[in-house]
Amino acid sequence: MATGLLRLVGAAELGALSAMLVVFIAHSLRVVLTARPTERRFVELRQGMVRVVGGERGLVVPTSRAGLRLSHQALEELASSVSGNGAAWVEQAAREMGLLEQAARWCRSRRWWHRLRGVRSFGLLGGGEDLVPARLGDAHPLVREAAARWVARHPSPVLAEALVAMLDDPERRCRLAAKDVLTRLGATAAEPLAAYLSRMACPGRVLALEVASGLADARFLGPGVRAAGDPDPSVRAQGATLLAAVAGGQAEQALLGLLHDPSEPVRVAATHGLGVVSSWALAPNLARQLSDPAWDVRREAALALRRLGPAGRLHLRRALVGPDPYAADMAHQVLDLPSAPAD
Amino acid sequence: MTAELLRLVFHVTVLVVIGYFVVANGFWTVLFVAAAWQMLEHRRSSAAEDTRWLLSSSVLPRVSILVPAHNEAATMGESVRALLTLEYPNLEVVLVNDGSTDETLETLVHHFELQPIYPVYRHVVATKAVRALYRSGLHPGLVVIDKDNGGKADALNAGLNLATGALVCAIDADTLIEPDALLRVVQPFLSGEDVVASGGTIRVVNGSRVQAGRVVVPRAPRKPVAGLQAVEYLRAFLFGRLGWNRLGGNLIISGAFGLFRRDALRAIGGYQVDSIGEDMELVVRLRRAGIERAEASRVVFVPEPVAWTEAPESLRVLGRQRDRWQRGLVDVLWRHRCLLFNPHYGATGLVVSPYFVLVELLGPVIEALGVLGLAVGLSLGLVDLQFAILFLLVVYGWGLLFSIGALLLDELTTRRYESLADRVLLVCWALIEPLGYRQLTVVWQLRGMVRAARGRSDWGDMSRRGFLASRGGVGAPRSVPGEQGQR
Repeated sequence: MATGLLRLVGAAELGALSAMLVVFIAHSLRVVLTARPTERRFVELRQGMVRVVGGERGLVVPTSRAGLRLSHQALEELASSVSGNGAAWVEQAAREMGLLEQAARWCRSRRWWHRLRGVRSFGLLGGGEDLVPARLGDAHPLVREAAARWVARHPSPVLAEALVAMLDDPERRCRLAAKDVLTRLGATAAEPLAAYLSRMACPGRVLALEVASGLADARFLGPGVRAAGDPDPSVRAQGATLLAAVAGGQAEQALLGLLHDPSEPVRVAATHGLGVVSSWALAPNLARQLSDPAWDVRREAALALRRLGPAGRLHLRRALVGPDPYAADMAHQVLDLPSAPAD
Repeated sequence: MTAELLRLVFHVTVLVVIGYFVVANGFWTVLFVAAAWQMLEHRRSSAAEDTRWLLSSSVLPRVSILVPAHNEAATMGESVRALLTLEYPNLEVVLVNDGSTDETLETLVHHFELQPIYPVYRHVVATKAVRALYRSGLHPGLVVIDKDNGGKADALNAGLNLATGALVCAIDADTLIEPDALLRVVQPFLSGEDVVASGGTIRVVNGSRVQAGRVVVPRAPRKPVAGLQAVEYLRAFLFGRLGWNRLGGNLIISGAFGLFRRDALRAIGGYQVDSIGEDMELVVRLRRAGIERAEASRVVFVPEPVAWTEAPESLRVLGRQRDRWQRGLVDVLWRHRCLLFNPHYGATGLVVSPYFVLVELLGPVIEALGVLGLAVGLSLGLVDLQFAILFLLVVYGWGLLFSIGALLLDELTTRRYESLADRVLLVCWALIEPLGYRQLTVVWQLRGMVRAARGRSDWGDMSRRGFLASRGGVGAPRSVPGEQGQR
């Protein structure tokens, strides 16, 4: 009985092992035998494409299936490093080769990995204006993320609005993609972002504030001040960063208000923000922060004072001989810094 | 009466051995299927992916690479240069000169124009005394810490204190990282807030051509000891760790290349300097702390990133390494014994931890028992010879299935070797691996367990040839003194 069972298991193992070895050897042989000619043809195609983009002469595109696959690869590789006329040529070539048609078919597929391939192809080769925007609401997060990246090459206020809405996406990768693309869109994103931040409660507020800090547009002063009064400490901290980026009298006042926030990260951000503003009139406020119970706040205050120049250094030297040993220690560390590479 | 008792003991032993064989191989089969599924999904999601997009992205977190170095003057300049040219936009390299007695620091000062700096930073984790800090005048992203010798864990802790990146990447000084490896290994952090660590595939560099700190022509090792390890590494990474992604998460991120959340590392006090398996200990502690505090605790393995490491080429050195690994395993599982079958820790307590105890820790004991039992049974006529031969063949075949399966998975997805000869050579190493090498490993592991019971915690001498050999140079053997604990 046991011997019979072992024989059976052994036979199954032998079968599986033989099958695996056959697949392994067959695949290895195929790869090894086709590697050199494929690479040669690929290099020729790539060079041909580069010459055509440079305006030299027409390109002969292979018509075989394998040749088309290589052209697709070469075109995608080229697409990521060209823009303007080059990108227009890539899109036209992709259309003539039927690659955009194929990408459209993939985009409509029921399988997520085909849709992903389709959206990524459009992102690289161009085109897809009629199909990709709908994929911003795809069921699979990777497809949504790829669609968000596609928007970077096809900016419009409507799509910027869709990206702002994506800041509330349940998937982190989609939220980060939206943030990244909004930052790349620049001024196009400012209006929908300001509208988004004017709403009371939206889950993606911190990310939206981060984008706004990067854009540093005067339209974000109001949202920044509102964020400084938010009950959520992470929103207040990011609000402080935004206020520092926007600057101005109202922003400074809001930042000063945050210096006494109960949350440590908020005080760190506000102190850092005042350092970024770099107004010598703020030096006494920053000097008071040297006695903050949090090490990070004291560090930010000391570095900010140091950046202020003589007015700040005066306060640091006073702290050295002051009654607070923690403030004195931090001032000591910062004053020891050599001028160039320490920060 | 005695004969009856002997027969009973023998039958119980046989049952335990067969039971272990079925459970362990059954679990590995599940792991293999899970790995294949995970690999398929990974391939689908990375098709036509433009990683260059990330190079200009504002969402990539800053990464600090921590490089502990002890007496690495010969290779340091080249290794650091290779790290500084990795494809990652927001990168800092923190090199820790851990009390080298050779000219490691002088070499660095000379190659990178180091200048002393005095940054204001907090010593969150206690370490041996830091003598000086430097920043490169040529590459502002390179910071060097010169400190008293305290071993690898202590050096990493010193780097952790100074690191400014939200993520820290711990590597060995002689690890060779592929240019886009960081861009890939960072991906889990972009997709999940609950990810606390990620790691990638480590391959054996022996036999490959290395130039300027990069593997330019990957080759399968020609020497048997390194070749057998190449198969072992592929099996361990490509189906072991990849499979765990689906079955409860990993407990190990290789010390040669792993990415961690800096704040999470600082919150648990960094590396344990008194642990012999500090990389595994760190990951287990991170997972435990994450679960206990309801914070990020997921550890993800990414199959694509590849770092290359040099494997021992002599049985003597390999034996010491395996002995140490087993002592490390004993140490970690004992320190974190509260995880075992503890439902509070979810899959970590109910699946991962029991697997490590029953299969990884006790496996060598049961395998030794099996071989011993077979010998006794055959000599006393208690075992049918035909049954014994069949059983051994089935055991050999099942093990071989996993090795060839891992090679196939690699061939279809992440293959690096270009020639057919290299691939055939790997199959040959896989075919002979269970014949002698595996039994030797069991002996080394048993020795490690005995030494762990006796409380030994040294590293042993770990001589390596060095990458110079693969460049066609002299290839003088390089020795890493055990008591310094750099490997």
